[in-house]
Amino acid sequence: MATLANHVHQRPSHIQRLRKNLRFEVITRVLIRYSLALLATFIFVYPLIWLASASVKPNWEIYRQPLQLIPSEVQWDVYERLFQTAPFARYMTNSVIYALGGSLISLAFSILAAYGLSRYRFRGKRLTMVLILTVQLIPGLVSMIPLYLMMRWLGLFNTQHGMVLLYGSLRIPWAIWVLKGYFDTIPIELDESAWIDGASKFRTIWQILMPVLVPGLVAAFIIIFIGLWNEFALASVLLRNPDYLPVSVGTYVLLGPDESDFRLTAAASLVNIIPILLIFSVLQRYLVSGLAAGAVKQ
Amino acid sequence: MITKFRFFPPGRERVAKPRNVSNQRTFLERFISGPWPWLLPAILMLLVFRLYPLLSQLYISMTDMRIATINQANFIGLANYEFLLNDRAFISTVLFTFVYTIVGVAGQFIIGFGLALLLNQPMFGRLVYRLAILSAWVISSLIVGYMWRLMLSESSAGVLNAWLAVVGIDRVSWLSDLTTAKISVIGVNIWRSVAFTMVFMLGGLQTVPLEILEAAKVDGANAWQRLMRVIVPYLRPLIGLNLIFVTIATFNVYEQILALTGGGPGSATETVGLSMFKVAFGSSIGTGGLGLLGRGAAIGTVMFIITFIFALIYLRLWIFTKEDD
Amino acid sequence: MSKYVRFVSFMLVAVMLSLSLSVAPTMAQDEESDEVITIRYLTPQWASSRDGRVERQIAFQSVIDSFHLTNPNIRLQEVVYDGSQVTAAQEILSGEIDAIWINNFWYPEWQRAGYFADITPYLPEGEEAEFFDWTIEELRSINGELGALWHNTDTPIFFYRSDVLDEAPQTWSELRAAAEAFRADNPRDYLFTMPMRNWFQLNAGMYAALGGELVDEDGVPVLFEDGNREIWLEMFEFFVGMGLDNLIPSEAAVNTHDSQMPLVYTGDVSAFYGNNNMFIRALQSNLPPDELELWEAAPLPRPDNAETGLYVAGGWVIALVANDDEARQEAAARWVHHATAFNANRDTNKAGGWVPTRPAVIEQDPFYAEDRFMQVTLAALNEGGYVRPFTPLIGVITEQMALAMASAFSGEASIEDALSAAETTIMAEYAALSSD
Repeated sequence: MATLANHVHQRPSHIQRLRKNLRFEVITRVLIRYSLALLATFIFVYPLIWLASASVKPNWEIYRQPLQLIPSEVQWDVYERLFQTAPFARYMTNSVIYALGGSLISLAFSILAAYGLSRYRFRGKRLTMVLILTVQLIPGLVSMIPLYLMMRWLGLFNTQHGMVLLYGSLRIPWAIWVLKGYFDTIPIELDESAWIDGASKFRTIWQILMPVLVPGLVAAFIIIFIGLWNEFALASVLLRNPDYLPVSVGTYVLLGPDESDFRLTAAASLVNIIPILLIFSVLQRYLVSGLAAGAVKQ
Repeated sequence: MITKFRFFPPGRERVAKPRNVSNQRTFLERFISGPWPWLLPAILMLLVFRLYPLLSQLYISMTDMRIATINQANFIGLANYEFLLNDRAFISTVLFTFVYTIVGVAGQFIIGFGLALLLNQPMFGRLVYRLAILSAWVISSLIVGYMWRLMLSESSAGVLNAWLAVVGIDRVSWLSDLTTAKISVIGVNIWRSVAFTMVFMLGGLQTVPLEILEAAKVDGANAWQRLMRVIVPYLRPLIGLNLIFVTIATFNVYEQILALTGGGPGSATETVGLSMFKVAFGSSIGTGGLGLLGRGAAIGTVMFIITFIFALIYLRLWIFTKEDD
Repeated sequence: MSKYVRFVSFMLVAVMLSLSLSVAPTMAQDEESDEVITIRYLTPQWASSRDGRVERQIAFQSVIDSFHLTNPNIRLQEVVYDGSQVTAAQEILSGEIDAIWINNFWYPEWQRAGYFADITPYLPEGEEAEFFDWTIEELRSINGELGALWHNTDTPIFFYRSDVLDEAPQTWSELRAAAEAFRADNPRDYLFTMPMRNWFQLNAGMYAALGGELVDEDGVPVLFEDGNREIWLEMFEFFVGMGLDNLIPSEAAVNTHDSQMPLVYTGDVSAFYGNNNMFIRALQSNLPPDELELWEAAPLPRPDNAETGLYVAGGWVIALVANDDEARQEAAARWVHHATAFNANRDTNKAGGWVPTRPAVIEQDPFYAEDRFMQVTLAALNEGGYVRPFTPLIGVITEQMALAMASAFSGEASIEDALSAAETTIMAEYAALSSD
C-alpha cells in the first residue's frame, strides 16, 4: 500500500504501471495471507490429526511409526470403551449443564455490573474495580479446603445445582472486567439517543447496547465456557457421585493413575473437544458480524 | 448539598439525565439511582462463593496446616513466608517463572493478535482456520502435557525428532536438556493458549468503527500504520485487559509442566504454580509429599502479590483512563 | 437485528434448560428400615465397581455382592473419590464414612491422630497370621492398634529382553558391564533406562541394604550423618556416573515410571527398572505381539557390597474409621475384613494387577503361580521386602532424594550440591514439623 500512496502524486504516464503493481500486490498479499493461515492451521492441527490417528492405530504403531498418520489397521475399540463401559455420554451432559449454566449466570450478573461500572462515575470506582479483580488474582488451589467445608454447610456439596452456582461465581470478576472493556468502546452518545427517546436503562441495555455488544459477549461466553468445561480441581473435590462428574474429571477417572493406553487418552481428549467446536462454529459468526459498525452509524 | 454520613457516594451520571435531578433525594433514592444496584447482584455472588474461601486461604497461609493433620492447624504467623524467602530453590523458581511468564505472554499476544487480525479478514475457509486454532486451547492442559510429552519424546517415538531426522537434523533433547527443556515448556504453553488472545481480540476488533479505518485509508495510511495508529489505540483498554488475563493464566500454569517435565530436569522448569501444587499436594499420589497446605497457601499469596503488581502496572499503563475515577 | 434476537433466544433456552436439568431431583431416596445398617465405604474410582475397565467392575462388584449375601442386615454404600489425600482427609473428618481405601503412606499420621479404630476385636482368631507378617507389623507399629488391613502391594523389578540379555545382572557392576558391552555394539541405543523422578522409590531398599538409615528411633532424620552420607555418595556416583558415560538415556532425568515407557515400546532400550505390574498394564497392550514373549524380569540389581538386595513394598490399605456408633463400627469392621479376605484379595488384585497380601492366595491360585513376573515379585518380596519407615518425613525425603538425583544426573548441580540442597530442605521440614 505504501507504493500506492506514493504513486498517487505522480504523473499520469505511470498509471499503467501502477495498475500492474497493484494487481501484483493484491496477489502477493492474498498469497501471504493464505499461506500464513495455512501455516498456522498446520501447526495447530497437526498434533490433533496425529492424536486422532493415534486413537485408532494399533498401540505399538504409535511408537514404532511416529510419522505415519494413516494406520495400518483401524481399531475403534477405545471409542466403544468410552461410551459403553464408561458413562462418557453422561459426563458430557454434565459438563454441558455445568459449563453452560455457569457461563450464563456469570454473563447475566456481569453485564449488569459492567454497565454500572462503565456508565456511572462515582467515588471509589477504581477501588471497587481493583477489589473485584483481586478476587480473580488469588490462585485458588488451597482455598479448595474451606470451599469444601462451605459447600457442605450450604448443602451444595455433591449436587449439580451447587456446581452450576459455584461455576457461575468463578468467572464473574473476569467477565465484569471484560464486559466493562467492551462497554467502554461503545460511545455514550448511543445511550443518550435512547434516553432522549424516553427509553429506560434496562431497555437501553437490552435494545441498544446488547446488539453492539454481541461480538464481545460471544467472545466472553466462549472463553468462560471453555474455562469451565476444562475445570478440574473443584469438580473432583466437590462431587462424589460418579453420575454427576463432568467430562474433565471423567477423563481423568477413566485413565486413572495406572492407565497406560495412550489411545484412550487420545480418544477421550478428542471426544472432549467436539462439543466445544460445535458451539464455537455456531457462535463464531457473531464474532464477525458487522453489527458494531452498523449500530454506531445509526 | 452537604451530607454528613455518606456510606455510598451519590451516583452521578456521566451525562445529565433527561429528567430533573432534585437535591432532596433520600439516601435510598440516591442509592437506587446510583451504580450500586447494578453491581449488587454480582458482588453478592462473589461474597457468597468467593470471599470466605479466599479469606480462609489467607488464614491457612499463616498456619502449619498439613493434609495429614488437617484439623489440627496452629497459627504460626508469618513463618511460612519467612521460610519461602529464605529458600533459595523457591527464589530461583520465582525467577524462572518470570522468564516463563514474560516470554510466554509476549509470544501469546503477538501471535494471538496477529492471528486475530489475519482471521478477521474475509477469506475462504476462515471458520476452519479458527476452529483449528481454537481446538488446541480446548484440550485440557494435563492432556496437552501428555500429548506433547510424547511428541517431544527423545525416544524414537518422538514426532518432532522424527521430522527433524527427515530434514537431516540430529536428535534434540527437548525435555532433558537444561535449556531446551525451558524452551519446550514455554513453547507448549504458547501453542495451547494462543487461542484465548485470538478469540478475545476477534471480539474486540469488531468494535473498531469502520469509518475510522476508512478515514485512515483515505488519508493514505498503510496497513501497518492503520494498525498502530488506529486499531491499537482504539483497543488499548482491551489489549491491557487481555494482557492482564494472559499474564495471570500463564503465571498459574502447572498441569502442563507437571506432565511434560515435572519441573525437571532437577528443578529447571519448575514454576511457582507447580511449586504450590507440589508443596500442598505432593508431586503424585505415589510419592505423597508433605502435604503442607499452610505453605502452599503462602505460595498462593506470593503469587497473588506478584500478579497483582503486574496487574497494577498494566492498569496504570493501559486501562485506567481519567474517566474511570 | 434478527441475528441478535436469535442469539438472545438461544441463550434463554439454554438457561432454562440448564437450570431445569440441574434443579431436577437428583438423588433417589434411600429407604432405611431400622434393622438394616447402612455403611459408607470410600474408595478411589479406579478401585471400585465404577471403574471404566470391565474386569475391575466385575471384581469389585462381586465383593460387594458376596458381602450383602453373607450380611443381609448390612447395606454397603460404595462412594468413590478421586484418590487424593486431601479428599480422603476431609471425608474422614466429615464423619460420614465408615471405611476407606487409602495409600499406606497416609496411614501413620491418621492412625496417630486417632482417625481409625482397632479392628482386632472383630477379627476371627488367627486371621492376622494369614497376611504377610510385615503388613500387620507395620500397621501396628504406630500405637499397637490395627487400624487397617493391607489390601495390595507392589515392588519394583528389573525387566529385560531375553534375546538381548541371557541373564539379568545381579549386581551394579554386572549392570554397568552389560550396559557398556551393549553400547559398544549399538552406539545409538541404550541397554536400559530408569525413571529418575521415582529414583527413591526404586532404590530406597538398596540404601537400607547398604546399612543406611533414614530416621532414628525418635524420628530424627539421620540420613545425612557421616556413614549414611557415604552411602548416598556411593549410590549417586554410580548412577550419575552411568549418565556421564552415556549408559542411560538423558531423558531418564525427567522420566517417571509411566513417562519412560515410550523408550521401551519403541525398542530403544531392552531393559528397564519398573513396577512389577508394568507387564500387565503397559507392555501387554503396547508391544507388538511377537515381542511380548521375549520379556523376562528379575529382582533389581543390588550394590556390590550389599549381600542381598532389599525391595521397596508399597500398596493400599483399607482402614476402619473410628465411630461412636457401635453397630456401624462392627458392620464396617466386617466389611474391611471381607474386602481383604481370601476371595476378595484374590479377585480384586487379579483385576488390578497388584500383588495380594495373603501368601496363601499366591500359593494356591494358578493365575499367580503361572505368572513369571508375579513369581519374580514374590521372590523379591519374600527375600527382601522392605517398607519405608512410617515417619511423617517420608514424603519429603522421597521427593527430595529423587530431586537430588535428577538434578545431579542432568548436570544441573554437582552431587555434593544436590545432596546438601536435599539435606537443607529435609532438615528444615523436620524443624518445622517438630516445632509444634
